[in-house]
Amino acid sequence: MTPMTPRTRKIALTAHVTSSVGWIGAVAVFLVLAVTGLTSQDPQTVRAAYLSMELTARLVIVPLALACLVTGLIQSLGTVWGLFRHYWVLVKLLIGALATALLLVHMRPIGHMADAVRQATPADGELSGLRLQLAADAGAALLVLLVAVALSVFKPRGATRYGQRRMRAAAPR
Amino acid sequence: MTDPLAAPEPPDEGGAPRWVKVLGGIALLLVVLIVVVHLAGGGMGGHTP
Repeated sequence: MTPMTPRTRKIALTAHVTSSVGWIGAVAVFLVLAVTGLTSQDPQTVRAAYLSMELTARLVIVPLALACLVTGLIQSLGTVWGLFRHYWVLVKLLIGALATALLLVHMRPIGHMADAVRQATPADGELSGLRLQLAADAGAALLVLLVAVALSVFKPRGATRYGQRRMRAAAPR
Repeated sequence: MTDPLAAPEPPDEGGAPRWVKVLGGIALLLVVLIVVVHLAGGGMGGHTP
């Protein structure tokens, strides 16, 4: 793929940074709601938390995750960094792809929790396993997304074997 | 942010750098932890049709 022009690259980078940071912020909010739903003693607060989690996940987190993945692919393929040449890019791709896949899988239990509180506020201890899972998964998601941000900024050294071959091929003789 | 057009680093020999291996180990631990939490919470039932 031909490297992008500087202007196009900046537009793509802006889109990627916006969706990435937005994703992290939304997951942070989701985590707060999950912990609130798990720990609050007020039935209305618990109900509101799980209903909000479902809306947040469906309308904000999923679109941002997909946007982040797509813009990340565009960024890597449209610049000399490439997709498979440097470990930091490869690890970010794995993080993004896995996080998005797991998010989509988790939409079912998130929806299940929202449906449950629409019927009736869960009693103490009811669905506690699922509620704990949602909080733990949100915490883990936030952690891995922060790792992705750190990789983007620090870009630790390390070219893959494919990347090394490409660099040797491109090196002046 | 580093200009990607100025990116190329000299080819270095050897396998994956240490930070990749460390991160991989941490990721593995995290996966194990999450699986344990899920199983303790009653399995993966909520994730499957």
